[in-house]
Amino acid sequence: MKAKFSIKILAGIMILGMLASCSEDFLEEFPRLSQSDQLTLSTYVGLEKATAGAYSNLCHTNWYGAGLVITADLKGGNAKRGSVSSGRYIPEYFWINNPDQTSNLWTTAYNTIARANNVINAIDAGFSETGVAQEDLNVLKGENLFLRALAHFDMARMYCQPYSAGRDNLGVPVVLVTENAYPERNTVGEVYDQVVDDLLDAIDLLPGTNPRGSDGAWATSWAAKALLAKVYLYMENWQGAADLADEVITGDPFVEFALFEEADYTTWDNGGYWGDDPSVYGAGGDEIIFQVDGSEGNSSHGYWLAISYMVDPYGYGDIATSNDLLNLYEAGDVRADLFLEPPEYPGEFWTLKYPGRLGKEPKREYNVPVLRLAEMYLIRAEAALNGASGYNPLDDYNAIRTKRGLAAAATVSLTDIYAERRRELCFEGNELFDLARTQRDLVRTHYDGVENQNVPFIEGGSALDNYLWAMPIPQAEIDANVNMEQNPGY
Amino acid sequence: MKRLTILIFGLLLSVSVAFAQEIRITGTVTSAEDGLPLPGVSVVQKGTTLGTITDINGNYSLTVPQTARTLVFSFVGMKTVEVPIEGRTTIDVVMEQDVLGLDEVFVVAYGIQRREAKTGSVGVVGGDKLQDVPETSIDKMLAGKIAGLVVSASTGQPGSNTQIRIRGNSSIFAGNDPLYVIDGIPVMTGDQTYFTNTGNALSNLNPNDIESISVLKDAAAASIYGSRAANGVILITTKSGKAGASKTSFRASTGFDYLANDNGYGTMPYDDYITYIRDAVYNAGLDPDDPSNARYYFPESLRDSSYTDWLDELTRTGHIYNAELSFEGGTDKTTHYFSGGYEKHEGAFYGVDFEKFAFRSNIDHQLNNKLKMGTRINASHTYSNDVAMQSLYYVNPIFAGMLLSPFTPIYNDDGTYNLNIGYWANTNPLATAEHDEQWEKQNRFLGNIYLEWSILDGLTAKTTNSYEYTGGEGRRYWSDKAEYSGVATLQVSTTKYQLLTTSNTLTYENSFGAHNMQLIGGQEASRYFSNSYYIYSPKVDPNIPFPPTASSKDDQTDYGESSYTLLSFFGLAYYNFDSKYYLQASVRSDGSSRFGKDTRWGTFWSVGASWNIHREAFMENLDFINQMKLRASYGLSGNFNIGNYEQYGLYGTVQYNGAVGFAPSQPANPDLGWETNREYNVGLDFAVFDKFTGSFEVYKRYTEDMLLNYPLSRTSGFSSIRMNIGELANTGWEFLLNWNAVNTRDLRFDLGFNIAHNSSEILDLGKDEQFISTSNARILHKVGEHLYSFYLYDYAGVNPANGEALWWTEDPDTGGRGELTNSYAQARRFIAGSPEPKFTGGINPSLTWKGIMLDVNLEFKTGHQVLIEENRYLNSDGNFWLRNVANTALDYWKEPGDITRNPKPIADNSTSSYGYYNTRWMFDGDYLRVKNVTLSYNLPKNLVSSMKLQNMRIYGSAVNLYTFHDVDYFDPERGVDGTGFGIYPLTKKFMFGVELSF
Repeated sequence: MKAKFSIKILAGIMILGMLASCSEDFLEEFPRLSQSDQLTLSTYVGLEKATAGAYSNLCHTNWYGAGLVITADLKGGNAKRGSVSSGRYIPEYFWINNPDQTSNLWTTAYNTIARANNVINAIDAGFSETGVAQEDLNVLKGENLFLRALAHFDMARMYCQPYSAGRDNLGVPVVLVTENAYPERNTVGEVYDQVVDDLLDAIDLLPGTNPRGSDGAWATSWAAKALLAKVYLYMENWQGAADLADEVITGDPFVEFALFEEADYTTWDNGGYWGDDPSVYGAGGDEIIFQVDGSEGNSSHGYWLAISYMVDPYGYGDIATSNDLLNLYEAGDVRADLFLEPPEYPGEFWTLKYPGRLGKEPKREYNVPVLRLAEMYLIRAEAALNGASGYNPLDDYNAIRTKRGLAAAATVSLTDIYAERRRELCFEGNELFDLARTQRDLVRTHYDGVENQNVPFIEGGSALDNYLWAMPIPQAEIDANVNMEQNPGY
Repeated sequence: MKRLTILIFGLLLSVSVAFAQEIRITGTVTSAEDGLPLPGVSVVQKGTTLGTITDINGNYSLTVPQTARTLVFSFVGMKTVEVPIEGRTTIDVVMEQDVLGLDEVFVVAYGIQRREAKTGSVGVVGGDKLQDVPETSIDKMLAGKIAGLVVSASTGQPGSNTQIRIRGNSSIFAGNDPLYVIDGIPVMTGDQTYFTNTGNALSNLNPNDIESISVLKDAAAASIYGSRAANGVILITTKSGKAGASKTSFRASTGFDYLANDNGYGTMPYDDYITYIRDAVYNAGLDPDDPSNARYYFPESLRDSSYTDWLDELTRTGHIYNAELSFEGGTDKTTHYFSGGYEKHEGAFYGVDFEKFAFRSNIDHQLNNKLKMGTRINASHTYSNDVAMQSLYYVNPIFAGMLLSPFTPIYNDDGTYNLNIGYWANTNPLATAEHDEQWEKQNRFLGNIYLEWSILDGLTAKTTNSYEYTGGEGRRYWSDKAEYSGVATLQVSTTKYQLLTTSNTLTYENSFGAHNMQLIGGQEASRYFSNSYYIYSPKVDPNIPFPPTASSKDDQTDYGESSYTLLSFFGLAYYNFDSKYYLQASVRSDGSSRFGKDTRWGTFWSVGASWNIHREAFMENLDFINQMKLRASYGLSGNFNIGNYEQYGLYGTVQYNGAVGFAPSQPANPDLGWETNREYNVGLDFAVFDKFTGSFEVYKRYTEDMLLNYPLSRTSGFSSIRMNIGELANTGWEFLLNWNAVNTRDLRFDLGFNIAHNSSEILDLGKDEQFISTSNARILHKVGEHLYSFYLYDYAGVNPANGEALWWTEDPDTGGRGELTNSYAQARRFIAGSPEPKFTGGINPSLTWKGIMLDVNLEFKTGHQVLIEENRYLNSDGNFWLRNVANTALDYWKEPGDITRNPKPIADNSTSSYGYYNTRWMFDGDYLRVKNVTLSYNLPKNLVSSMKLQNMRIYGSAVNLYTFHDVDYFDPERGVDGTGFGIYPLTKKFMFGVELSF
């Protein structure tokens, strides 16, 4: 009997083991921490979160989180290699990038475009959900159009010859539907046209304040207008640039942006916030129109590679300041106080624009202004000097100067505006692109390399003549996409 | 699938239990050599588990059913004897010594097999060959022991993982690690830690608990493990007790380890360094005697000042301690094997150590003459401390030790650590080793319970059910005392891994005249789940360094989890005619949750045949041939070693500016399916002149539908997608020879030799001819080339005229070398070599004289290259200014006409002479390593008996005693891909131990 009893147990164990495991359901395992793309794009909540997700790349180290900003200022001559160095960004400093060592903005920007396209196309395909108003969908679509435009624009700045050198030069592929394909490069003109289209739509769709928050890190119609003003400046559409900059400066009737006060310049390194009160958008005393948030909790945050750590001599400190920039400041200019000369490194300066936000140590939190009011004044002034009608460039120039501890000037020229852009917008990712769009030479007197101290921009030259001014397309893209053409010269 | 289940299910139910009459057989077993009785001989009714063991006087008594026909007598080192019962009740047996091991039995998939019966390719290592080697896990001990099994050390850290490859790499992106099966159950492997490099799942297993290891190499042997068999299978069997007197063994050993450095690699001697940096300053057009320029001021007077030898300060002689106790014994009903062990292993670097407690309980119990059950239970606790290595971290002692300047003091004048090291991110690796914490504590459990039922004569059902668990707690603490900023930061983790497996088989074995057959049908299912919790707490209170003292606005948390399931049905058939002709076939159907709905089931099968030529009549006169066996096999096996859920298009969670969003995390591929291996194998086993045994085999295996991480245009929003694309072939041969040169009563000398050749070739990569590895930019995958090719810029040495680095350009017509240039940007990039060895193997002499035994294990690899790219920092020709340099930089250009290895150093060198990915850092990786030498002495029996002991043994053992190589680094091994950065080099270990049994 004992044997029979055991046999029953044995048979029971075996049968249970098999029954527990022989159904097809047993082989269905789905990740609980993710959700399918279909589900995400078929609910309003999904679209709303997918839109929030589309922003998150902005603080990636390839983009505003470090790479784009540092590249523009290192190559533009505002920054130089520090004596504190982790060895990063050397090719940018020496202008010796090659397809294996180039900006990876490409990957990050197209990833952002994919995130944006998925939402835009889901909405355009007629998405509707009970209880969801069309206005809510418009906001989402507008935000994604803004991000798609910014991604295309920044890639055009990074990898292409400037618009002013001709519409027919190689642009980047304009991707409006993300799919597994092998697109060719569009022309520079086509890229800018799409950026303009997207921004015009975004201006219509976006509200003046973003329901996600009012700290300037979420897109608004004002951000779209400011970006379009900047894009028109790059396109030398002077009247368009001036008019849009004017709209933002006037701000009527919803917002009232204002330039930083002198006092702000002494509080940033203490208060730890580049900009001012982050909780109120455009309600007096706020200069920031659009900025990138660099909280450490962000998924794309670069930690030690974040811009605030790269410009901190007590961090990696690779990115110091060139005397060429420092020498541009007149006595009394409060902006000259935004540089730190650590006692350990006499005679060497590091920018204080990324002072470690909210006092956090190590300095890995930051916020990067992408569009702010001072640039709108500078755009309106530059456009007016180039023939846009209805605006007085000297007033705009002095509006900045008088807020920065300087006396009003009697005259203003384009050269003054260019210098003012450098003084005002240094370490915000502009100088290289400003040189290129205005076809001026890079001239560095404070440089510790051997080659490429000065890099001429040959006016009217071919893309090959000026090849150093466009970063090479990453080799990985060339390898993966048979239709991808490398920039001439690389 | 369901049909097969029902079939097995029905079989089980339809079996009715019949109780037959029984007979009792007794007898004595003696040795042919000296006529003395043999205790411990296994006596089993053929085809069943019914059996017993002879007692101390060689006597046995066994009750078998009347239907029983044959008894099998077996004992380690003796030739197995099969005796027909023919109605007798007394059967005495004389056993002969088996010098050549022809009667050796070894573990194969779902059973055991005699050497003579094999059709597949199987390599075996006995536990006795592993017991004295002081390594933290058994995978590290297999180097050079089995032809075609290559162990690649990518780190020498105690407790770390090892890369094992059987017959080369079969896959580009799916895993290449073999399947490990312990006591019949496939187990988890790989690194399971959060912060450290010490999570080797196999380190759970105490090497002394291992009875044997079988390595299944070809499809015939392995493909019954179907989906996971493509990279071979390593079967590990742990010890079980034997009936008879109880035996207690105690082992203790101690020893030390230190950095192996047989090539004199290191930093440049201090005096030479002064000359070197002064030359570099001159070469930059500056004056090293000009005090106004601190960065370049290196006066002659520095030669007399004191300096710091950082590498020396960061390394130490680590101590190793081992102690363990085991109990084995049993009755004819129940046998047991219990063991417990403790091990502590200090690393060769400060801050690295590994501690382990492991326990085992193996019990087998014969419930009645039909039912047997048992357990195999292993529990362990490990505590491993390490510092960040295996990459170029500032705290990595092997990297920092080479680069920190001799002018940089370790301590400030007040005795505190110097944390003001501007060129080194203000990191003092000695301070971090002392004050920072980085550890993992793991509790592991691997247990199975089996029940075996002899339903009828020859028909056995077995169910084995196991639970495997790893629970880990990790901590990484950056102490305020070692941080320049004075801020303390904490990270902690909790991890859990578990695997549930049920394995059920039905075996039928019978003989009809000269026809012998065995059929096995079975079913298996596994469910895996893992998760981890993580807390990041910046600015904790150094006096209470735990998460509650960090501000909640700073705390960050994370959670991850993963799961998979696997369901299998399989059948296996063996047939032989008269022990001359063997046939074997297997089929297995596996379903995996990792693939698409329509592609998740894969069917794998194999066929094999072998011919024992020596049993043919025409061979009878050839007395010198003891054994001659021809084998051939063909089969399919699979590989599913990719991540979980890769078939789905997913949105994952992302955070931005305080909001939670979704972002695409992977593209969908609903057609994702199995990667398949197709393998041919032909082998010849031989034993001749009563002295030589060996085998030679050739194989070719094709990997099809490779699971590639296929690069995408970034415009798709992704950089790659997992797809089944492409084809790869591995071709090779293996040769194994054992020579029993001397075999007398007092002296025995054996010499083992094995060598294997493997060559991979990529046959197809979809639409591409080539692509650069998405995980390692130095590696190219190209059709017609090896699986791994080094794709490097062509360094041409130094221009004797001016000391500049020279490069070869590409000739636009031939694609070969063009002209010399000093521009790195113009250098051609080409396939410069491969990290895949052409030949690997081992030489294993073993000498026994009376009680003294000497075992030597040599291991070699040849015909491959390694890339020591970290030398670009150590030979940067002045670029990494203010840091130290390697002594290999000594041969540098000084004046026109000098022919040197290294270009002229220039302070703050801004040329690309030290560029990435170039042949300047590539070396031939050939080496011959004296992997292990063990000398042991068994004290004479009479002496031992007088101490009331059964046995006493003392031994000394050395690991990595000496390595012959020509690589500019401490050690020539760099892992499978031949690269690796900042790796923990292999160490030398010396151990002394004693073993007592009573």
